[in-house]
Amino acid sequence: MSNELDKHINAKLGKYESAVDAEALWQAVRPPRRRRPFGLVLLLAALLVAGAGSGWWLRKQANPVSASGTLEQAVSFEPGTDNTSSSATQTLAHKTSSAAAPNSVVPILDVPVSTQADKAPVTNEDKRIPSSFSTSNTASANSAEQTFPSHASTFSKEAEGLPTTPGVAEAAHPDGVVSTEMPPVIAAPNSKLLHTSTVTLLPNLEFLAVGQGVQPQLPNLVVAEMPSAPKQKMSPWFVQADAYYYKLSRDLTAPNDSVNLSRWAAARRGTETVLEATAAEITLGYHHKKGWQVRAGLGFTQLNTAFAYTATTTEVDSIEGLQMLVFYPDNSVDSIYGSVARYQTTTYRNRTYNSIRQWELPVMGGYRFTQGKLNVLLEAGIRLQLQRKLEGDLLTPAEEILDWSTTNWYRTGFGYSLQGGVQLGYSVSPRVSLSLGASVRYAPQNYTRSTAPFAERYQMLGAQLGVQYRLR
Amino acid sequence: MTESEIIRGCQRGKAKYQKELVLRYSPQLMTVAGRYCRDDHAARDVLQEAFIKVFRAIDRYEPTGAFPAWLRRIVINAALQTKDKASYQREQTNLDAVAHPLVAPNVLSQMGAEELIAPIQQLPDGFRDVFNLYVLEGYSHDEIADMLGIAPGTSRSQLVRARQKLQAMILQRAKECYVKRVG
Repeated sequence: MSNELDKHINAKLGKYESAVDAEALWQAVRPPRRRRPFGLVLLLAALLVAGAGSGWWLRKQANPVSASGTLEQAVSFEPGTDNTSSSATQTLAHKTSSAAAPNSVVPILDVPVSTQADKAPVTNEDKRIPSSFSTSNTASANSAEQTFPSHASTFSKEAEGLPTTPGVAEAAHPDGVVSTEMPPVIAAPNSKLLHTSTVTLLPNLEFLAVGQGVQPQLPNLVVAEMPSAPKQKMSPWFVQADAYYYKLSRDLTAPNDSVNLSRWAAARRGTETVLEATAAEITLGYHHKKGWQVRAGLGFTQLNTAFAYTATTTEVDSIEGLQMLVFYPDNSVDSIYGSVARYQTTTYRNRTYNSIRQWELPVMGGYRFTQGKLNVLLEAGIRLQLQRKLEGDLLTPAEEILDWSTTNWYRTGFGYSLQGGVQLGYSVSPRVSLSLGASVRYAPQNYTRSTAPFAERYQMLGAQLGVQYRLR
Repeated sequence: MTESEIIRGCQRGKAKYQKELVLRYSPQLMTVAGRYCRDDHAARDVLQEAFIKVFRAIDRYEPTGAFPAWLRRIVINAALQTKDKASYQREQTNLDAVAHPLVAPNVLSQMGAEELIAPIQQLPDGFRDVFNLYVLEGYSHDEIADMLGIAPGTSRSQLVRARQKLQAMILQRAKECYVKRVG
C-alpha cells in the first residue's frame, strides 16, 4: 500500500503547478537594476579627449621645426651614416669679403658641397669641404624652406629635397666675389646633418660646431637669432566635443480640479527622487575672425531619477479552524470548528533607477572674446530633440507599479529645448583649446503629451567640459 | 522565449528574462516549496528566497542537467535551510505509536493535488522532508541522511512513520468528507 501511496502522490504532485501570484513574486524578487554610470563614462570620455589633445600638443612641442638657435643646436652628427651620399646641399652665403678668418673650417657635414667661386671638389675619401663660398638668403630645414632677411652673411642649408650634384658646392652671390679662404671642413665619417639653421657670419668668422665626429679645430660660428616662423593659416572650421553634468529640477503637476490626480502627483513626487542629467555632444562649427561662431552636431542626454516604493498587500482566504469556544456552567467546553478567515500580509520594496534618454541636434551660436591664450564664449541656441526613450517604473493612480516604457503619456518624438551658457577656453596649442563652463537648459515644452493626466517637465543647470580642434 | 534564451538573458542580468523565468517556473516551484512548508505563506517566503538565490547563482549554472531540476534543487535547499537540523532528531525521539491504517485506492484517486498537499504540510518537519525527498525527489536514504544531517536509519524510520501518519490523515479526511456527504 505504501508503494501505492507513493505512486499516487508522485503522480498527482510531480507535475502539479500551484496557484501563485507570479507578478507579485517577481516584484518581490526583482534584482535592483544596475544603474548605468553614464555620468562617469561621460566624464572619463571628456578626460580622455582632453588628455589626447594635451598629449598631441605636448608631442608636437617635443618635435618643433624651429628656425632659430645656435649652430650647436642646429648641427649634430651621427656616426654610422654616409655623409657624402646625402642628397642635401648646403650653401654658405655671406657678404663679407675679407673679414673671415683665414684657415677657418666650415662644419658642413653630410652634404656634398662645392663652391661656385672656386669649384673646389669634395671627395668621398676625406670629406673635406673648401670654405670659399658666396651668399644666398635662403635656409631650409627639414625640407621646409624658409626665407629670412640677412644682415651680413647668411648661411643656407637645404636638407633633403633639392637635387644637387654630389661633391660640388655651389655658391651664388649677387656680388659674385668670395674672398674668404677657409680650410676645408673635417667631417667625421658617417656624420649626418639633422637640422639646419640660418646663421650670420660675423666678420671675424669663427665656427663653433658641436657634434659627434667633429674635429675640435673647427672655427667658431656665431649664430644669430632667427626671426620666428610665420604663423600658419588657421581654418575657421572646428570640431568640438563637450560633456555636461546637470543638476535637474522637475515640475510635476496634475490638474487642479482633480483631487485624485493631485494626490497621485504628490505620491509620485514622494516615490521618485530627481537625481542628475548627463550629456555629451560633438559639433562642427564655424568661427569667424570677428569673433562670432556657430556650431551644430549630434548630442545625447540622459536624465536620471530613482523610484522607490514599499508596497503592502493583504490576502484573505478561508481555512478550517476553531470558530468558537462555548463554556458551560459545569466547566465543560465545546469547540466549534468551521471556516475562518486567514489574513496574509506581504510587504515588498521596489527600487528602480529610471532614465529618460534622448538624442538631440544642438544648433548653437555665440560670440567669442579672445585675449591671448584665453577666450570667453557666450553661447545660446536650440536643441532639437530627435528621439526620446524612457525606462523604469512609476506609480499609477491605483498605486500599482507600472513600467514607464509601456505608457503613452510621454512625448517620444520631435521636440525642442533652449540652451545657453558661458565657456572659458584656454588654447593649449594653435589648434586645440580646452573649455570649462556653465550651461543651462530650459524646456518650454512639457515632456508629457497633452493627453496625459499630468504635466512633467525638467530644467537643467550644470557644468560643461569640452575640447575644440581647429581644422586645417 | 526558449529555456536557453531565458538562461542566457538571466546570466546577462536582463530584467525581461528574469521576469519570464519567475512567471514560467514559479507555479511549479510553488508546489515544491509548498510540500516542504507548513503553509502557503511559508512556502511563498521559501520561493522568494529561492528565486533570489537563483538570480545570484545562475551565472554558475552549467547546462549539464535539466534546468527545472536545478531550480527545484535550489528551492529544496532554501526550504531545508529554514529548518533547525536538531528538529529532525527530536522528532525521531518523540515518535508516538502510530496506527497503521490502510487507505483504499479509490480514496486516493478521488483526492486532488491540493487535498494531498494539505496533509503533507501537516506532517512534522522531519517526516515531511524525508517523505518529500524520498518519494517525490527520488533521493536515496544515504543522500537524505547527508542532506538533513541524520543517520540513514533515521531517514528510513521517518519515512515509514511519515507514510503511516499520512495514511491516517488521509483516512480521517476521507471520513470527514463521508460524514458531510451523508449528513
